[in-house]
Amino acid sequence: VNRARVFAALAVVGLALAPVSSPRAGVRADDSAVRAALRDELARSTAELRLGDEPRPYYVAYTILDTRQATVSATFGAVTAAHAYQGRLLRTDVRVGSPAFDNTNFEPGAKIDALPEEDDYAALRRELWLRTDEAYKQALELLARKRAAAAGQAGGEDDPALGDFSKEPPAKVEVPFPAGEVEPEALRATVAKLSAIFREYPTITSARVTGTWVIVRRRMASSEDTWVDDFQRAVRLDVVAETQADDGMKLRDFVPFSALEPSGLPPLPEMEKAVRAMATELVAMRTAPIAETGAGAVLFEGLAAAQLTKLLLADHLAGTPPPKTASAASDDGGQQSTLATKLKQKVAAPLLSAADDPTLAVVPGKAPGVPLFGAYKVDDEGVPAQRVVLVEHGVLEGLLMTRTPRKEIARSNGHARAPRFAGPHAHVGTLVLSAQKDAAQTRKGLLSELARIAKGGGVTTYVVRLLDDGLVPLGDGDDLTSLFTFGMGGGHGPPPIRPLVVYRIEGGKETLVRGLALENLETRSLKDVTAAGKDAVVYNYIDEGNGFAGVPTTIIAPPLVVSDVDIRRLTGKNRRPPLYPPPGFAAAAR
Amino acid sequence: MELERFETFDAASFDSLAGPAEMNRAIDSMITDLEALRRAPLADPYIGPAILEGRAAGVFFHEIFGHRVEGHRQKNEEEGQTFAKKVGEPIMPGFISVYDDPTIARIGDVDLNGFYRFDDEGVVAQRAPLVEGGVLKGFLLSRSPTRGFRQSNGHGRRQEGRVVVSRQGNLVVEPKVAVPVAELRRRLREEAQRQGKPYGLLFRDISGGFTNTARGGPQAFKVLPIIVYRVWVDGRPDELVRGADLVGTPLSALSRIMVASDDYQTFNGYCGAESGFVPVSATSPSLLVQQIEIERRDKGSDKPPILAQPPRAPGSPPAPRERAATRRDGATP
Repeated sequence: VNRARVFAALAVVGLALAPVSSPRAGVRADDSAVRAALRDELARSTAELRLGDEPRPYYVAYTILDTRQATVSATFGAVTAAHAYQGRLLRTDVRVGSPAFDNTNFEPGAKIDALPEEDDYAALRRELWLRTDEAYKQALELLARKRAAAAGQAGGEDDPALGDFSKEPPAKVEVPFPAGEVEPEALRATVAKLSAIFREYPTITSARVTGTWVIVRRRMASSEDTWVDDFQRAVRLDVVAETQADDGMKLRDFVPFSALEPSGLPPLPEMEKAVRAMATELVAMRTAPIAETGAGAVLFEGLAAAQLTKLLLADHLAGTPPPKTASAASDDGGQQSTLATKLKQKVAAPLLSAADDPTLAVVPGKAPGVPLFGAYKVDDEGVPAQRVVLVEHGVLEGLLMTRTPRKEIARSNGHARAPRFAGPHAHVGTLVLSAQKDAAQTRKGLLSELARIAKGGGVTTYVVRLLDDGLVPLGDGDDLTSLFTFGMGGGHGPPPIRPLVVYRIEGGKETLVRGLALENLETRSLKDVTAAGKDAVVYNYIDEGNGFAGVPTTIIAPPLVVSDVDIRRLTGKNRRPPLYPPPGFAAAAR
Repeated sequence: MELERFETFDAASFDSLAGPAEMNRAIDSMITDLEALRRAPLADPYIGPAILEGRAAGVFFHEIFGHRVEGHRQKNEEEGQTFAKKVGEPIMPGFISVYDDPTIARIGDVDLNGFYRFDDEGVVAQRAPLVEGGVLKGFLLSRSPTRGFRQSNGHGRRQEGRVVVSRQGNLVVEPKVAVPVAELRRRLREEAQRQGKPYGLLFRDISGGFTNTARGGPQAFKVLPIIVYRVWVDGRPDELVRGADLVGTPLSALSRIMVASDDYQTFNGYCGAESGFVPVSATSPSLLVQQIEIERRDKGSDKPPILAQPPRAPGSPPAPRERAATRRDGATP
């Protein structure tokens, strides 16, 4: 009854829909104007910006991100959308106080604003001026609040000398920016052709192919004399299909293809073959038996191995400490990563080692053409990327660090990475999980390892080839409702993981099954890895953010056998499949 | 206080869009207005007579009247149903008629945003008589019938992807008698004097408005003016004020319209409600209202920028005019 219905103003016109801009010929391009605007306003902000008796900024940094993006989607051979986007964002970072105690590492937040696309000195400087002014005032306010919070707290275990911002040499990096437009036409034919394959599969109810090509040019200048002018590129084709079993259960599958530019994608016949294999498997899933609840041992292979590595390891490696001034009542535990407090402890099976190496240019043991989304030279705080040894024979030896120090690691290792609309935080670049050389096994060896585990009885063995890792939008997600309603095990434990492609192994035979969730898989499950394979998979994805606004990331991981996984059969009601058979396509009509 | 001024140029095609000369004029007046607003005193809460100039009056009618005669609101028990049972009764002064007519493409030289030939239920657009001689005649109707009205009058509208409800198209306020604009001002002064007020108000431009039509909330509206003048009884020049929001309740506001003038203006915009944003217009003459109420606007407390505006080219000094303006206007608190 109290729901007030408020009508928006007549005049919110203009705010209602921001026009999607497309790359335009004739837009002024002048790199020197951008650089001069950054340099001049940076100099003025450092030398003159001051409010009354308040401190001047001790650090100012600007990052300008020029994004060019093209997207094409198609379904059953028909293009449903094709557009290009071009935009420019500014991230403003102003620090007041001192590196020992400043306004950061207190409340999360970043200052991100839109900038004029044109390289117009006056227009850019004007924005830099106003956004710096806002950021400075905000920084002063935060610093005051942080001081007040600190004053009210008894000293904890933290070293008071541990500062907020580590000292790093300024980076100077310039990578020539490639000319040329990013336009959807480059992907249109491929996307349409791949989606047309599904016309051959009448029981597949939904099929979507989305191709995205993005280039983000980054220019970063700081009061420490940092100058970075480089770019990141990514192309990804996501092929997603959906069908329904006769009992109504929705089934999904996807195949991603990645490259740094459209010409780097695999040859079309190769992609078509992969899509057909996926479609055939998905159709077979419709009549596959439903898995049973019970104890399981699982071989994660193909993309699933990398996806598992993401969920169990990559997402938990940040070394950033919790804010020193977090409110007294809060528990620090929730504010830092699972592994942050486990340095020098056993976190995985001794056969596993892991390192993150954004400087990696070529995947070891693969052809030189394999793209690595997670490669970069300088991170988003202007610190050169470094290879970091994270896990050595199962023991945690390192963490991913930004310029926010922690007791054990005082310096950044170049892993501050920022999604387009947020501030930098510790994140993997190219994470390589590897098995001890003599421990790496063939697929046959891995299957006999599964058989060995099952030998005592009471354990069912599976091969999982693909997970729903939340990175590819798979559909309406209505079948997950039942999963989350009944699947949380009373609210304890990590969220269940939904595998998309699963085979049950019985007497050496692999049978496709459906309708299960994997429970209680968490970071500590890495200790239950009893074997790893030889043939590592390379998984490129864009983490966080909406789609391509996120952090480009690569995970390289070998097949993994996890000896202890709880398998749960999915229950719950499903909506009936369509009442009528598909209308069919002229070419494929039966 | 952050001050805003906006102009939009709407047209059905590029050909009928305002030309560069007209746009430049509008931009110049925006600059003049904004500079004047920076120096203008804050408005005090006030109750008294006011003139709503055409565009302001159009939005005023859109909010206090138009949303309340949307057909679906007449049968929803959660709605205020201000006018549900008032068909055939006088609800505003007898010299005013109001209709909504999506079939009008242009008034004067302005393309109307609410022009369409068929509504979103495929019904032919048609003129909906709403008020004739002050008496409520009907509602804006989609194919969802309401008491006494069984057929659509072509006002079922929606934004793509939303569910149709009845909405406004081109709302037009038409007075039977109208006085010249100068006379309207004279009458404003006279009425202010009669009420013992030192000044009346003149609303020239508004940024928009909103209203609540649901029960449980107040049946009130708020209109957000940008350009408001005090019109002094003693004949002093008009004085621009800032930070005033116009508030009120529909029945009271409508019954207090005294006079309309012989000018008219059109406000083109986009209106948001249950069925999303749809393009609409509101056309009205300037109106003298016997009593309106304004309240203080939330003004924000951020200080103006610390540093002066940067120069326009590398190495050149800051633009002197703006620097001077900053000082003259006392930007430093």
